[in-house]
Amino acid sequence: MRLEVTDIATPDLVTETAMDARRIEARLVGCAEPVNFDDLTTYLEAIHRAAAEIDAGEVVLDIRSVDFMSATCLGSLLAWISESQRRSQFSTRVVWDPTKPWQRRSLQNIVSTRGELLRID
Amino acid sequence: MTATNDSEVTHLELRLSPDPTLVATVRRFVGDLCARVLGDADVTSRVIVAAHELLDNAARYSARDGCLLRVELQRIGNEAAVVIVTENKVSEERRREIAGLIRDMDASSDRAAFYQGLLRRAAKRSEGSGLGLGRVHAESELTLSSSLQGDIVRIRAEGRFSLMTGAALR
Repeated sequence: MRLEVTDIATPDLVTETAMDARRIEARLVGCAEPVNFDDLTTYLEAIHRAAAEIDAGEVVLDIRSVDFMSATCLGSLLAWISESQRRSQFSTRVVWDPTKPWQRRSLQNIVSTRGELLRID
Repeated sequence: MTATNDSEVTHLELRLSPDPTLVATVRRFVGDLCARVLGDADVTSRVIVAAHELLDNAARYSARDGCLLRVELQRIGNEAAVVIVTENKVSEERRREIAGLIRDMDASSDRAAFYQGLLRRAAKRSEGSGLGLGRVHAESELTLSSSLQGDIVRIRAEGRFSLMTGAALR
């Protein structure tokens, strides 16, 4: 039985999750406000468990439709990337929008610290 | 709340209750104001990030009462001068934490390297990212200073940026 991932559905932030045989794609839409920290952390942990369950080779995190991410939620994302790399279970690819200046600046810094197994497209 | 537009300086000052859920509303307003005044998406993005993180810190750590946010936007030729100030009452422990962080930032010659150190530590933290002020310093590229008046801490972030050619005052 495949593990279910419960999407986030809040006024600020929503997620859409797609899974196939060995790949999970998580799409975030909206603004990741500090109040979304617990939801985001729980969601990313569920993605991690699902990836382990299906022995995923890749997890794609699509943040193109995220207009703003608070430092609080950046911390949650960083912790998830760090834990994923520590376990080396799957590769992580972040899909971003180069027209959004905050994404360019934040991802540049994240890649500088967590770039070993992180792909940014 | 007052918002005035002199010939060259636009400033906004508001006082709000220490409610973190109001931060996003204020951030959107500040972003709209900055886009209208400066007409530059890159500078507006820096101001949005800085206003959010400073106000989020002020609302989150305010010991009691409210917090104050002041934003000053000045167009000087083809440059923009930005000043963002927050004031709020804090505990002694938080005041020392802020002063220490700003002192370490000032001592660092590389904003990005300093912030990347904070990011590495944030990946291991279970509570609070500890990234807010570092993000203002590194991503918004604003210089931070703090001062204390009684039990009120005042944090000032300021910087100057080139505007994109043709960015119009709207």
